[in-house]
Amino acid sequence: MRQQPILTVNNLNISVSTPLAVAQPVREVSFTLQSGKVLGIVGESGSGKTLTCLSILSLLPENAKVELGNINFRNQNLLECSEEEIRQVRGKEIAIIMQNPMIAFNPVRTIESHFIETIRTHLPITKRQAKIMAVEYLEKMDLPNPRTVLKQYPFQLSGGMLQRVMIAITMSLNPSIIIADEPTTALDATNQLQVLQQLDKLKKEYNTGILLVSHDLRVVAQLADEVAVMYGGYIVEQAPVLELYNHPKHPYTRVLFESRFGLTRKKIQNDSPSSTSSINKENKCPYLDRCEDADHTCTNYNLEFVEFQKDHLVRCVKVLESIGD
Amino acid sequence: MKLKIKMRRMLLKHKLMIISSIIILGMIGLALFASFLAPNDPNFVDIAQKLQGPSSQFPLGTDHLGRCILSRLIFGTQTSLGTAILVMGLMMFISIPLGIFAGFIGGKVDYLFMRICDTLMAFPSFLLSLALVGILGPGLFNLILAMVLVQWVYYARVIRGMVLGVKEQNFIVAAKVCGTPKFIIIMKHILPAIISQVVVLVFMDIGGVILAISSLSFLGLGIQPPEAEWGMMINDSKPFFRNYPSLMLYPGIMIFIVVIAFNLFGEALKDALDIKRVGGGVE
Amino acid sequence: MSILVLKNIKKTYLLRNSVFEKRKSIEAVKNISLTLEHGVCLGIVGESGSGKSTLGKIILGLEKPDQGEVCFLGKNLHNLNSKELKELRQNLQVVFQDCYSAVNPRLTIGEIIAEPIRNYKRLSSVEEENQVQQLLKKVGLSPEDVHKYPSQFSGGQLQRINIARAIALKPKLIILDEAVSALDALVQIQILNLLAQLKEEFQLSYLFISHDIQAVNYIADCLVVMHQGEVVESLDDMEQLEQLEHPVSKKLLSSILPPFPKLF
Repeated sequence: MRQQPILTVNNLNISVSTPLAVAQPVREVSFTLQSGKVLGIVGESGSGKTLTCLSILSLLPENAKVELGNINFRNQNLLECSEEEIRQVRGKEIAIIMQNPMIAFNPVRTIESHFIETIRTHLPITKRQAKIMAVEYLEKMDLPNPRTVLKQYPFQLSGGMLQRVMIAITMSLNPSIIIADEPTTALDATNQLQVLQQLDKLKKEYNTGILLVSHDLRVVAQLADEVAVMYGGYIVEQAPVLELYNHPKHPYTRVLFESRFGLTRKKIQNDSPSSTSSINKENKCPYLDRCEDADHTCTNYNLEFVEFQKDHLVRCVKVLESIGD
Repeated sequence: MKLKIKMRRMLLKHKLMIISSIIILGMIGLALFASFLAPNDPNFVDIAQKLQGPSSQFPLGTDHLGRCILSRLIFGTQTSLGTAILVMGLMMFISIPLGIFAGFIGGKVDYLFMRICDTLMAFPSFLLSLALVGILGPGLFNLILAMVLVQWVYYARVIRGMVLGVKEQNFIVAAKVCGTPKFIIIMKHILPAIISQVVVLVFMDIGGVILAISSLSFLGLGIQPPEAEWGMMINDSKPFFRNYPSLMLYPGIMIFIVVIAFNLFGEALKDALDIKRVGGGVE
Repeated sequence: MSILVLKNIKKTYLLRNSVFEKRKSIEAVKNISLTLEHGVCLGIVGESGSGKSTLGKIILGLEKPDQGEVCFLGKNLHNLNSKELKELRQNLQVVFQDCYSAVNPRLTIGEIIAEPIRNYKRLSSVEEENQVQQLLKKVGLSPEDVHKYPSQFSGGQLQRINIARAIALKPKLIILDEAVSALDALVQIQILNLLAQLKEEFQLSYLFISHDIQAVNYIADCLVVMHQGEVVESLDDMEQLEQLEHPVSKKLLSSILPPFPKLF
């Protein structure tokens, strides 16, 4: 049974103007997110995944602009909101967790003052109540000695602890959606796992919808219910996680799956050239130059989604052919 | 290449920059071609013509000794601007090498350098210059000497801070590991990295230097008569302020325009080069 | 003869928090001894703060140890005059984690890669360009990239440029300080493959410092686990990785994400 989606992104196109040219790093991106579900977005740097996230909260850099499409949160079109309305949504309804927790904190203020200030800007409670809440949420994040942590300064905590504090602060406002943009990339392997476990716990306990963005398919695979693979600004494949794992259809997805090392010492063959500029001007398959299976049919492909199965969409003309056979 | 495009775009964007650069270029033009542009000899005294109003011969009138005010203003550009550029240049000549040296070598050298800076900077710099000129005696040379001796510390310290910021970058470490000699590292990696910030700093502060020179001249400690200088012109016109306020007004306006123009230009340059933080003014 | 021998290295940092507090000191590296043979890749794994990067800096001669000796090619690295040191430097290179800050944004790729060559050899500009172009080919970039600037490259390509600079003088040992940690998963494999290939071709030895035990496992021939400035466990045969016993090693192993979806 399908719930009503809490966040709908529909045909999102973003352009970025540089002194030399106008580029379109995000094209025709559509997805939906439900409460208590995790949507993973995988893609390499420059694939447009971060811009997509930022556009949801109108946090795009000055030179970037949403050209087309709409973003609906509940029944509100976020792209048409005023600055004040967006501010109401930010943090309280939709929260964002960034890659580098160190930058998000003011180094000269304690964790406690960060925590209390954030809670009190959104909720009408006293300092004392806010502090009790802070301790409670830090405990939920399995941080040892929450009271000591509150007295400390950001630089006294490790990256993993700081990221968990960040999640605790975010969660104290009980948002409906969390956008986690590379939440584990800046962290050590050991902390990575902990942060993922915490995110999972939150999803189950509070029924929060999570948009998990990463370059690492493994990270996304642990948590996501559904995965969207982005390449060159397009979502090239989208499917429930097990379906994607069992039947990766797009050549790029297959390369991603092949390049996970785990504990192998066997050399993985991977000669596909790294992308030079994944922003193409003409409307042709973004993966064309790197694709091993590409032939003349690909150049005429209009980039429409092919429905391989129910809920499994692929943007590759080869898949269309294979279904036809 | 990238910088050029950025600069061009910013230039068009920032009207302030255009206006201020026109003013600055105009001032420099005035200074360079003063002898062609000035209608009269600025130092020609004719008591019979004293304190005249504007006329075709003297477009802005004459002062208490019958000298042409417009000509004196134009020649004043030469002195004020020239001295300020000289002072700034000398300060940079001292403070760039010393700042880089202290910042790059670090350790005990840096510690010693910082203590000297702290000591010198504990005094208000203008008062210290004033005292120095007082001791050395008034005059253009002593004025320059006093200003440079007192204020180089400030710039050396700012430049040292810039170097410390660049020094931590990995490409400097990589250069060291490559076996690049220290001198080459400084010339090839450090200097190009800080030079745009230094240029901005110079432009933002040169207005302050002009002001300081005029202030010292106003107090009679700087440029000596009969040489034309704005600060001194204001000083000269003090006794006639009640009846002839324009005598004081003209050089005042000149100082005001130049200082504002340099500040705006520096500010716009800072934006154009996208420099986040640069030290404050001289005083 | 071993290429690198570390004997009882110690390094302590003094922290000056405030005038009123007692000075605290942090022992970043406590009594570490290691040996690295020719043509071997030694992996150093540990969590952040385990002192592995400090150790790398000491080996590079960028930090002086409080105690102990770093013997590189049989000479004590911290006991040389500047001429001998320069001579030795040729054989010791580094690749950093942050590929963006490791290249001077104001120089072209050609100038960046030529920097070490210029320091040791006198070449005409044509010879120099030839060498640089060959190095670029070696690391899988196009020779036409010589005149481009760093801002025109992606992270993976910049890391290739950093590697080209590191192998320019045909060194004996390269320190790889988290060299692939900041890259995308796909690019990591490509860079690791490149490093493995170059190691064979130039008979290089690597010191591969990382927090990611998988990357270490992929490329290293032997490994040590560091924790709070000490080596807590070492392994000579990577096939026995699963048999690491120390709790820190176990924790590192258990943190590996399985390659398949495992809904918690």
